This record gives sequence, C-alpha cells and structure tokens, in this order.
Amino acid sequence: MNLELSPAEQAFREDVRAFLRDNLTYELRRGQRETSSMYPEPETSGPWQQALQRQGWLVPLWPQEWGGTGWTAVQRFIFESECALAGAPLVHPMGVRLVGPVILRFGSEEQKRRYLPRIMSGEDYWCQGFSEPGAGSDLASLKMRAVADGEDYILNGSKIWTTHAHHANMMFALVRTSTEGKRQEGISFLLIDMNTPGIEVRPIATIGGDHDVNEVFFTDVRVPQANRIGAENAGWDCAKYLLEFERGAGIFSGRLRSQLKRVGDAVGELEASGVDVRGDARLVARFGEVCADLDCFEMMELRIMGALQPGQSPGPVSSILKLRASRMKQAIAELGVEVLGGEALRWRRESAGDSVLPVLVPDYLNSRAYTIFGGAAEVQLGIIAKSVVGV
Amino acid sequence: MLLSLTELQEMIESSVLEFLANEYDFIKRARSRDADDGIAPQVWRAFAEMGWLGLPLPEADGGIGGRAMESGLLMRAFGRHLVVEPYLNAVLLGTRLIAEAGRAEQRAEWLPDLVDGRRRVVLAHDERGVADPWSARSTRAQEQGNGFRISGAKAIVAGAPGADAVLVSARTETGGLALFLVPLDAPGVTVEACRMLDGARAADLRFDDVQVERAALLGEPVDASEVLGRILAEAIVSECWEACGAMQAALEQTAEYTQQRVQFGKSISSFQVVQHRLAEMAVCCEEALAACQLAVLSIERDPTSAISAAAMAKSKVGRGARFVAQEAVQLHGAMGVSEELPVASHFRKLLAFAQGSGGTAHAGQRYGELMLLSDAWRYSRTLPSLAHA
Ligand SMILES: Cc1cc2nc3c(=O)[nH]c(=O)nc-3n(C[C@H](O)[C@H](O)[C@H](O)COP(=O)(O)OP(=O)(O)OC[C@H]3O[C@@H](n4cnc5c(N)ncnc54)[C@H](O)[C@@H]3O)c2cc1C
Repeated sequence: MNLELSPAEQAFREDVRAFLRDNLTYELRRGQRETSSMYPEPETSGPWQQALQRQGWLVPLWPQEWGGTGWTAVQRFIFESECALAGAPLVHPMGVRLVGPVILRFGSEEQKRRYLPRIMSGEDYWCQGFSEPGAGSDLASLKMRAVADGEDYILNGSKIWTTHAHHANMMFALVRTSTEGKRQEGISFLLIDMNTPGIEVRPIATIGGDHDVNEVFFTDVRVPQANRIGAENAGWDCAKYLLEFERGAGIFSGRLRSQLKRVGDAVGELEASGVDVRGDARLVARFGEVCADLDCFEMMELRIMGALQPGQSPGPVSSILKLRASRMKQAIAELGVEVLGGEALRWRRESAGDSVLPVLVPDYLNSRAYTIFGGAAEVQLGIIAKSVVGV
Repeated sequence: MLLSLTELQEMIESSVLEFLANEYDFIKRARSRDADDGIAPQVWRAFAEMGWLGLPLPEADGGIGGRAMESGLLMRAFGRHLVVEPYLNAVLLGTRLIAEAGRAEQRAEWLPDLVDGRRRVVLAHDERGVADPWSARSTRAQEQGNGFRISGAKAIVAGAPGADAVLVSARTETGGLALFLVPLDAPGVTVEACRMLDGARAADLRFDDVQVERAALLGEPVDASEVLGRILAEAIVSECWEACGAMQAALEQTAEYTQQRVQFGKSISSFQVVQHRLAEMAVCCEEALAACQLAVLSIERDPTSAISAAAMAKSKVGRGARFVAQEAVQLHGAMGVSEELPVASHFRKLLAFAQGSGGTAHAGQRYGELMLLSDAWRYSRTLPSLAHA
C-alpha cells in the first residue's frame, strides 16, 4: 500500500484545482460557509451545479453515455475532497445522486430522455417523498395511496420531513398502490410535478432555526401513470437501490474536513480577538481526538471506496461509513460549540463579514439530525451486526 | 439526619409546579418567549405575588428566607417548564447581592421594589473569553474624585433588556473586585440586545468611561470578591437544579413518546436498544439530582464550600445533561429536531446550561484542582467531618 498519487492522478488533481480556481467564486464559498443546515440554498448550489455541468463533472456516478466522467474511485475521492476543501457548495443531491441513478437503472428510454437532461441542467429541483408521519425507520409501512383512474393515479395522503420541498418543482415518492400481500410488494415509485393541483407544502420549524423540512399534503392529486418508474408495485426495488446511493455513494471525508476547518478558523478568529483558546488544555486535547478520528475515517473511507470498480456499490460496509460520518459530523460540530465557550449562548446572530462564528451553534443543533435521517444510527448498527458481523 | 424535604420546601415546590402547570405550559410559554424583554408582565407579577421574587431574602427584607435547597427546588420546576424569565440573574444574583452586600440605604432603596417586581436589577459579570466565573475581570473601575470611572464590556447579560440597573463587576486599582449599581441609561452605557439559545433575552453591555458616584459602589469595603464568589457559586448550583428539571422532563417526554411511537408493528420502547438508552437516561437524572442535593446540603453546612460544591455539581450535571439531551432527541427521530414537540427546546436549554458559567469541562477541572489542593478527596462527602462535628 502507498498513498502516493500516480502521475495521472497528480495531473487530475491539478486539473481539479485549476477548475476550482477559475470557477469557485467568493460568493459561492461564502454561501457554503454560511450554510448551517444540511444543504445550501438553491441560489448557492444552483450556480455551482451549472459550473460543474459546463465542465462535464456534475454526474461522476452516471454512465458516460449520459454524462458520466468515467473516473476511477480514487479520482472521485480526489475530486470530492478537493471541492470540499476549497469550500465549494454541496451539489443538491436529490436529482443527481438519488433519483438520477434510479431513472438510469429502472426508467424507460423515454423517461431517461425526459428527466436526465433536466436534472443535469438544474431545470428540475427534486425533493424526496419517502417518509410519512407513520413511516420513518419502518419505511415499508407507508400509506399514501395512489389509486389508478384511467391513465392517471389519484394520490391522497401526506409526506413529512421533505427536505427543500419548498424549493422543489419535482418530487420522487413512494406510494402505496396495493394493500395486498407483503407490505414491500404494494409500493410504487412515482415522479410528481409539485405544481399539480391538490399539493400543499407546509414548513416545519427545526431545532437550529433553519427552514429545511416540510410536510406535504396530497388531496386528490392526479399524476399520470406514465410518471411511474418501473413496474407497478415494484417501487421497493427502486427505493432500496436509491438508499444504497443515499447511504453509501457519498464521499464524506472532504466535507467533514472542511467542517473541521471552520472550527479551526473559529479558533483563529477568537484568538485574533484576544480570546486564549489554545491555553485551554482540555480543548486542545479534544481537538486532537477529533482530528485523530477524522484522519482515520478518511483512511477507512479511502480504502473502502477506493477499492470499488465503477458502478459497484460498497454494500453493507457503507453502514459503517454512514454511522461514523454522522457521528464525526456531530463531534466536529460539538467541538465548534466548545470552542465558542460562553459565546454559544447567543442565538443566531447575523452573519458578519467572513466570520465563521455565527454558524457554529446552528450547525451543532442541526448536526443532531445526522444520526436520524437516511437510516438512523440504531438502524445502521442493526445492519452492521447482521450483515458485517454476521450475527 | 433528615433525608426528606421540610414542610416549607414541599410547599414551595408544589406551589411552583402547580402554578407552572396551569400558567406555563408549552403553549403559554410562547408569550414569555415572544415578549419584548423575554418577560411576560403577568408572569413576573405572579412571581411577585407568590413571594418568589424575594425567595432567597430574609423575612425582614420581605423575603421567604429560602436557602439553597428552596432556590434549587424552585429552579428545578423552572427547568422542567423551560421558564425564560431571567429569574436567576435578577433574583438569585441581582436582588440577592443587594440584600447581602448592599449598604442599608441601598437595601432600603431597592429591595422593596425588587421584591414587588416593580424594578429589576441583574448582575453583569461574564466577559467574552473569560470562562471561569471566579477569575479576574477586565472591566476596570478607576477612582476619580468622589467616585469611579468604569470601562469595559460584559457579554450576554441575561435579563438586561428592560432592567432598571445592572450590578457591574469591575477590577479596582487595589486589585480587588467591586460591584457597582449602574442604571442602564447612564451616559456611556451601550446596550445591544440579543436573544439567547434558550429563548431568553440578554444584552451585550459596553461601559465607556461611565462616571458613577461613590454611592454606586455596592457595600463597603470595596472588595466584593468573597460575597460575589459565594453567591455566584450558589447560583451555579441553582442552574444545576434547573438543568435537573429539564433533564427529567426530557426523559419523561422520551419515555412517553417511545411508548406511543409505533414502527415495525410495535412501540419503539419495546426494542431493547431503546429501553437501555432510556434506562441510562434515568440513571443520569437520578445522579444529577444527587449532585444537586449534595451541593446544597454542603453549602448549607458550610457556606465557604460553595465554589467546590458548584464545581462538583456542574461537572456531574453537565455531563448528564449532554447525554440526556442528545439521547432524548435521537429517540424522538426526526420529531426530536423539530419544533413540533418541546424536546428541541429542552435540548437547547441543556446546551445553554452546559456552555454557561464556564462550561462543564472547566468545572471538572476546577473541582479536580480543589480536591488535589485540599486533600478533601480522602473524606466522606456526606458524613460530617470531625472538624464540623
Ligand atoms: C433533517 C431531516 C431531513 C429529512 N429529509 C427527508 C427527506 O427529504 N425525505 C424523506 O423522505 N425523509 C426525510 N427525513 C426523514 C428521515 O428519513 C427519518 O427521520 C428517518 O427515517 C427516521 O424515521 P423517524 O424520524 O420517523 O424516526 P423513528 O423511526 O420513529 O425512530 C425513532 C427512534 O427509534 C429508533 N428505532 C426505530 N426503530 C428501531 C428498531 N427497530 N430498533 C432500535 N431502534 C429503533 C430510531 O433509531 C430512532 O432513534 C428527514 C429527516 C430529518 C431529521
């Protein structure tokens, strides 16, 4: 084993850096830096998506005929790390990383031609309608009904915790098309135009004071059956495939490192204003522990993801990555609050210039969600016990 | 030994809980949170009518004569209901300091109004970058003619918006720490209001060469470090009680929620993973209560042990609060990070507690230093030492 980059990898890294130098503007970095919630707002992620699209680097995971890059896993690791470390906005994943692969795998030619280009151009902004008030960890218990009526389905029910539904014009959703047999076998995967009459989006206030998630109500909403991906009642396969991407296909190291940089920058900022942070031996020790944890996470992620062939998914070890990444996120955010000390008592002050301080408390509050969404920590531990340990 | 509450203590606790249950449920709490200064006038008036604004004062001063335990019980109930009014900084610090350290004419001028709720004085002590509540301040007071000139800044002073005056702690030329009663509209005082993590209101205060007369000095002699240090320590113990109430409420809400929430065809409280987590939370709550009780009993036995008792309690309760808060949110799933239920507010309250007054880790360090310095770790913490027997 060695960690040296080959000349080709080295050259690739230089290309990525050059691209970042030319395209990653101050505004975009600032938009990402000031984001305390999960995803940046569309005015930040949108322009960055356009820049990546122009470069042909938006959808590394897709097949090349549909715009994929054909990168090796190591190239992807380099790319994601460089982007994150440079402070690039997170691309909104719902289209390119979640529904895109599902359409590629299960969609018809016509569906691919219709939706994939619009995902890439950013014309469609997607949200994920899986969870319902009664269906969280136990997703298969979802109830929202889709009843066939001529060429359409008529939808009634509600979805909850729908991230950025208030920005989205499209939703991919799991709906119940049959109540017979196994619960998983009565679910279909539908693409829904959010402007269809009968859809109402209501905001849900959250712990850090951001508006991220919503409740979405459906009353007699007509959706063409042509918007179904895959066969009727076969939506669970789409969902499982999508969840693999949601949990496993991300590269977390760079994002976590850039979050740690925010904390390190906060130390510098506080010291510059006369606060002696480094004089606190306990804090320094904690900083060291968090750094050690992150360093090892990075090695683990590189080893696991770097070994994958294009298109291959990491399988159940992705639960280890997801679990550790979510806890790392929380540990780093908590360190940020520790660094702030008593200043953390201040609630959401206005962002001032280039200061990273205002974002630290909401970031910690919101970080609590990372062990909940996309499969809660307890669910990941169950998967690890069953599929990795084998008990 | 008496290991149960006295009649007065039981009465205080039950009347506070009853009042808050009726007048301060999670919905009604919003009127305090949304009020201009974080104080609903009818709530503060009710506090006055119940006598709570004079709780820690002797009866001669119009108070109830409550000691550390009485304050603790009241604060525990406040924590359970997430009271946002600045009771701690106004009553347990501001009023109490005037009562204990003020000169006769200061007590006469202020105490009746403070106990009645007509006026409010809060302590302005915390400074940016100074974690330890008992360490030196950078705000300075220079003697000039027959008075002082105060310069410096105080950070996130709870309850300052709308207060009539603040008690400013400042270093004097002799090196001691003095307290000055300064009206917030005095020339040279800048008040910048802000909201706090737990919904309360506070302000950053700046003092630019603020001229005060000698009469503004709280008490005599000039050095107030001893009384301030002790009363600050007692207030930290009261905060621990408050956290204890918030932890217990978070535990109860989580126990109730996990019993109602059905996933995979069962209530999630039937999963052993969830049960063990709830059990660990319950253990933390019991331990936190023990820490609070031990702290007040130590202080009542020996007031000079207040700082050590506060450091011990803060370290213990702070660590438990972090665990209980995080697990309460986690076991609520997405509901835990939403404002649909009170649990997110309890989380913020407990975070504010853990971060405040120098922070949890600092308290552990302080306690370790005090223990090693004094050899006190050799002896029972509950049984009276021979010196006290
Ligand atoms: C910020 C945020 C954004 C989200 N965005 C979206 C979105 O865009 N689209 C979408 O569809 N959903 C979204 N979700 C929902 C998310 O997927 C769910 O929160 C998640 O699946 C958990 O479900 P739940 O919240 O109902 O918790 P529950 O399933 O009710 O779980 C509550 C607690 O019980 C534990 N638990 C449950 N079952 C077991 C078990 N068998 N054994 C042990 N413990 C168990 C859980 O781990 C958790 O701690 C989002 C959630 C959050 C917090």
